[in-house]
Amino acid sequence: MKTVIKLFVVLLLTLITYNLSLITIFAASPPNPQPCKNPASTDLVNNYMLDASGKPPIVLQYQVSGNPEDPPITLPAKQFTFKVNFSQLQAIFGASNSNYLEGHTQSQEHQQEDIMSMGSQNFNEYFRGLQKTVPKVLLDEQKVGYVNFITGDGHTLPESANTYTDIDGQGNPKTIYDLVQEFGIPNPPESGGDQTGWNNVWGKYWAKIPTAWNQFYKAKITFHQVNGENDLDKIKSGADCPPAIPEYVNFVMPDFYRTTAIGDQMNRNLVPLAVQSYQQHHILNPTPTQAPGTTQNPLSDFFSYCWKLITSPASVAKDIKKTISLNLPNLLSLPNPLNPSAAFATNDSSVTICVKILNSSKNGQAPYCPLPIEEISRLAGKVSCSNINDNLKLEKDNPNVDCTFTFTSPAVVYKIDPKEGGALFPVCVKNEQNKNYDCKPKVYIIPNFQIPWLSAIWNNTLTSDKDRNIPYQDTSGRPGIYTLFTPKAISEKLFPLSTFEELNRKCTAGDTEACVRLDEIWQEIKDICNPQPGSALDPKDFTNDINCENSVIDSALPGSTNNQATNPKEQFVGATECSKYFISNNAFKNTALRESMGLSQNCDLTSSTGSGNSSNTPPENQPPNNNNCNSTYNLNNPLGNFGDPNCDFDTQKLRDQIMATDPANLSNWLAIALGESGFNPNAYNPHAVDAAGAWGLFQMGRGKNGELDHGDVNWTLQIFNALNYNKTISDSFCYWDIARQLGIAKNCV
Amino acid sequence: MNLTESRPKIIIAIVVGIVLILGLGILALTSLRRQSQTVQTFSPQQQKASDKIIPPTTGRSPLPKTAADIKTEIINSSTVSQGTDKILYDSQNFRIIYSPSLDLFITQIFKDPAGAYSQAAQKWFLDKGLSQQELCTLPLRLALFNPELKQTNPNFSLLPQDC
Repeated sequence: MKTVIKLFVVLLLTLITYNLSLITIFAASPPNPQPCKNPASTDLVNNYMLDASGKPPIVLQYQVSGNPEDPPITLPAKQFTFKVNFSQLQAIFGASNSNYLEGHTQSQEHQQEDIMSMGSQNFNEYFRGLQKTVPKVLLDEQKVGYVNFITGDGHTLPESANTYTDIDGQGNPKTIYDLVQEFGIPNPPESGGDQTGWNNVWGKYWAKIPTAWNQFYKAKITFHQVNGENDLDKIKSGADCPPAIPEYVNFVMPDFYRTTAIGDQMNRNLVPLAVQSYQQHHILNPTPTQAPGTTQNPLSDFFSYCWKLITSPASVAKDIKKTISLNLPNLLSLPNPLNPSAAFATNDSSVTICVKILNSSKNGQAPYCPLPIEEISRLAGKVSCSNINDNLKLEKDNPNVDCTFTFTSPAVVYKIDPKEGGALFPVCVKNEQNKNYDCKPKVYIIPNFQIPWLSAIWNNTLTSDKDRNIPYQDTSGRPGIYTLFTPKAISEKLFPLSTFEELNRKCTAGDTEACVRLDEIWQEIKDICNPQPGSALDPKDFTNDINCENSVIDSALPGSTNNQATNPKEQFVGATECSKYFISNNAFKNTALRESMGLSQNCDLTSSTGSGNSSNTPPENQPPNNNNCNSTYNLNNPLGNFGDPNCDFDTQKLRDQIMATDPANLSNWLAIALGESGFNPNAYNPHAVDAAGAWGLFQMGRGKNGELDHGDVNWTLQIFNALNYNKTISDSFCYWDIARQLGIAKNCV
Repeated sequence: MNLTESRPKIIIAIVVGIVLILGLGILALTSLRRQSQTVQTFSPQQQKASDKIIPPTTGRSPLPKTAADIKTEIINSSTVSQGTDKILYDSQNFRIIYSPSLDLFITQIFKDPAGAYSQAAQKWFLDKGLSQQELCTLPLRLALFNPELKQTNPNFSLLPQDC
């Protein structure tokens, strides 16, 4: 009888267990991909957008007349237009870091690869830093979390429909949902445990399962109004924060969450706990999704720029100064290379702006969401969009990609102030005939791209920086995963000379580099720090505002820039792009190899999608032919048409390629190309100093000074070689005679 | 007090007056110089040397209306293109193109005498009604399309005459 009871109990328990497992299986939701829909929310990081000279890009010009004693005048509301090409916008929000760290787990090729037949090199590429550094037990935990999420709340993400073959690349490709239906929820065995059963089910696919999903998040473009020169001055001096006008644009961003999650996983494994800048690591908690509109994210304690102003006005003054004047001008704001003449028409109420694009190989190479359909309804009449179809558009049936917004700035109450603009740039001029003041006040509009997760990515991958509104628990200077192992010598490249006093001391001691840097700083601060008259004459003499100077120098953190005025660079995820290559190149390649590969010694803090070629990858070279391109070229050289074999060269392409790589020196490069060759990619001079002759747009040689000293190649490669060769000679331009003649070259021997 | 007695005092007064005038003059000059230094302090950022050759497309001084009209007319007169560049004039000796992306007229000289062809190219613009000074801000630039010509034209100017 007892045996029967025992059997009954066992049977009962088995049935209960079975039923529970069925419940688990049936709880899974089949894939229902809805790309770009239902984005989650988290706090956003402000990125104010200024033009290349640090000025607001949209300027509304008024004209009024009157006297200071008159009652205030109302400047009427005025329309302005703002263009965003979302296919390009997403290029800088790219998946580069997550792909770099985790591998291309989101690509079909990766999902259906035959891993077992891979050579060691490909194997090394397939599994990236994450799989190599994070312990298996933690990876397993994250992968189980991934499976749960993708078959739960994440079943509407596009990746829920991704299909996987087994590790041999065999079998019908299956979705995660299919695998759960077939094998149940995965339960990987502990290390050393029996793998047999596991290897017959989930184990066949486990190596391919991602650790982080690519969730969509809300982002926003707001517009901040600055009334006149006085208010602009106040903002620059940190006394005010520009108020937002009611107009705004919501848009959806992929990739950032995945980058954040992977960066966080690696950070907690690589960086010692004591110096981890963010120690909560809740980003990958099982239920990170929030209902739209909520901000319950574990990182929701990010500082908000203007909120910080209210709570900490003294410290934020410096932040504003840095933010407005130095750090972000080129974040998103280089002129559209396709429409340069329209860009930054500073006294025009219409302005064309698009994000910085490095070069043609990188344009739009990151997945992107068009403007949400709901925004078209909400902004009825204020937006018109055209369609762009490419394989990176995630929401294929949404045609709203290249959009022009027409907004109205609110009316402004204006009081005539003869002192506005100062003595040199007066806004008001006295009219001697009627004794009135004729004034031309300006209202500035500053677009602000509010981006999710930016601080966390920055923090996890590069460094924490309290001054830059990174999470409040931070201590500035804590390393990220790319900077943890950086030797001090490399750090000095990444974090150039730290203080004004130190620079001044080194310069006084005869350090030329420090003196040059001081001169550069002088160019920056003279518009920012407002040094007293007289201090301008010798850059080394200004000491009247040491804090301001130091704030300029401090901006030399990765991702910010030392010399915004003449060498625009940008922070953002792009900065991590630079650092990872910079550090690995310097750590693992010797000088000769670096030089022969044309690798820069400078950290070019520019953005990249990473899925394309890196900025160090030379363009492909086409062999010469005899086509003179409708008599454009007189091919009086031994090779024929080496410079423009496809007959596709023009000055716009020349300009665009330079803009994409070295925008700060655009006019220098154009002047050199004009003076050396008259913009002739097939120019050839057999009487040059180099016995092999001088070739191409920049009249370079045939390898005498290394691989980059080649002008006998296609024009794209000519530009690449010239710009990169110049980096190997400290950006001195000393290679080119015309640069010396025109005063472009500096510090030449 | 007669005139003879007061003469030395008058002389002293005149000398003092002259010294005072000179002193004030020097003071005024010094003050002016200081003012000019002050102005320098707040002057816009120093222009790059290359900006003179390739002026940025933004922030240029506007051309006088007539010149701007002529410029538009010249640009619109061409129907021949080389990519985005417009070919305005083409001969065996030199070619004139307009680059919309740089907002720049470029004369590409093929052969010697390069100086003479440079003048000829400028005359082409002058004949359209532009003044020599307007060629500077048009802007027109001149270049040797064949770098071998540097041998015979070591001082060739990229800028039009008097720029």
